[in-house]
Amino acid sequence: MTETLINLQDISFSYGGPAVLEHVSLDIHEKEFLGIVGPNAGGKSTLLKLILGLLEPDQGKVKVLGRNPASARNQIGYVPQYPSFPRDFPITVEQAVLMGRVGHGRGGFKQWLNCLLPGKFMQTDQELTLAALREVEADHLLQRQIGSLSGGQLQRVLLARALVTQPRILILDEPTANIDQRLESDIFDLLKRLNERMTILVVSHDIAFISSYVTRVACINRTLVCHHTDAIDGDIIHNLYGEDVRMVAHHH
Amino acid sequence: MSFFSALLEQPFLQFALAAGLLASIGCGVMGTYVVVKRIAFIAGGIAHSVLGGMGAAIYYGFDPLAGALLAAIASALIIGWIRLKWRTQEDTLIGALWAIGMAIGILFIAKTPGYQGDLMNYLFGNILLVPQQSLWFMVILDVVLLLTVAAYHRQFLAIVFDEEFARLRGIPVTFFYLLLLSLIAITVVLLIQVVGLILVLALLTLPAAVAGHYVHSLGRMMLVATILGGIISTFGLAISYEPDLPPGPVMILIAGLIYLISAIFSGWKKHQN
Repeated sequence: MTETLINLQDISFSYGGPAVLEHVSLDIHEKEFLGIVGPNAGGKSTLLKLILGLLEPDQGKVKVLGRNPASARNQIGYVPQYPSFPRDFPITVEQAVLMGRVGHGRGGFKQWLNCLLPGKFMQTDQELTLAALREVEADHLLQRQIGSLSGGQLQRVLLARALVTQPRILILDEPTANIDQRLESDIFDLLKRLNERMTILVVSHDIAFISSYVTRVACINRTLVCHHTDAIDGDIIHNLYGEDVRMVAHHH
Repeated sequence: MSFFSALLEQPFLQFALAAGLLASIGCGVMGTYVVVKRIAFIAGGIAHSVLGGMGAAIYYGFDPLAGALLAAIASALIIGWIRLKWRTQEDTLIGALWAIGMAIGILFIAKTPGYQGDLMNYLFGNILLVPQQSLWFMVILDVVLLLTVAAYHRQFLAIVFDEEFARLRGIPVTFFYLLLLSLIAITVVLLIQVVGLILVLALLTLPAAVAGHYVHSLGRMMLVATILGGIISTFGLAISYEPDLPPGPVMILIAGLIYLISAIFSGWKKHQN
């Protein structure tokens, strides 16, 4: 049995109105590649925010690496769906990825001190940045302005910024929502490689596409509807989306 | 020509020129953060509420600059706290603080005998009246500013670029955000000497915005904006000298003109590509 990295116990949450999540329990183990799928506004992003400690559950417990999420979040690499910076911000790809090295540490007092450390980036920070960019095949973009990147290139750079923090867990929110479908499989091939050394959670609306990559799927629509390692069939889709969605069978 | 010959003979002009150049450093370095973080409204709130502190200092017989510095930092901390805790009502609350600070200042000044005439100088600045000891005060503020930015430029870049990511990395965002606003408050006090608190905002944002048209890193923006600020204040002083115009508004008009030309030019250049 591999180690449980993330443990959600009977989570309920609302933003003050109707419940967004109800009685969700989920364990995520080391080296898993978990796909989180479900309809829009079904609570997928909320679930991620609970794991990152950006939100507190109304009920239930979230444990990440056996600790409370806020103190474990520095071991999580997070790639948001929409970057929370303006695209015209004057910064190079190199500098943007280096931001993942500010205050680097494994938590606790030492990391807090690192955050207050004055001065420049170290040589190792620069080297790790280049290595992370190489890993996502974006090292040729090093000196480009962030505003001049295409959607797919930006997604790789955001992934590099998450990787440079040397996370144990990688969390991606709709990583391919804003990019060309042709590039979608490139990103997922890359994630598959990264999965050899880290646990990955990926939110997606494209249940058919990700099922060939992930090791397990969690379907969220307010409650945890299904929780499967097997192939996804019509019943599950029906339960999840509450209507008949025509499935297109792929035969290769 | 007569400005430059007068400059050699008149100490008050030399002080004015020095004050302009010292203020440019603050306007270039902190203006860059204000522009890229898009917090001009917050900087405006800090600048205007400073009048409360200046009025109180005058009424109780302290140095108005010391009062301005205290008030600026206090208002930076209050505004920063409002932004971090009550984000939804941010603009209402900052707008209120903006006006309340000025109202307090005007009441204090009105009740101080013989000071009414100076009100114009606080509001619109008078670089020609900068005394020598104020120059030393400005030097100290510039040194504090440059040392802090040199020490924490990584952390500042992290929070102005992507606050959410910085918070997830465990960087004490609140601390560095309030520190950044305090440095902006210091810059406001530097600039009040030169253009007065109403016109501060233009000198804080326009040189950095123009720099942003041509260079694409914070460090270079700071350098270009500082040089530009120096040029604007020097030319403002020179142009206003002979027709005996107040230098502050002349500087602002020069800054505005440069921005306008630059915006049109860079827009045209982008269109060409």
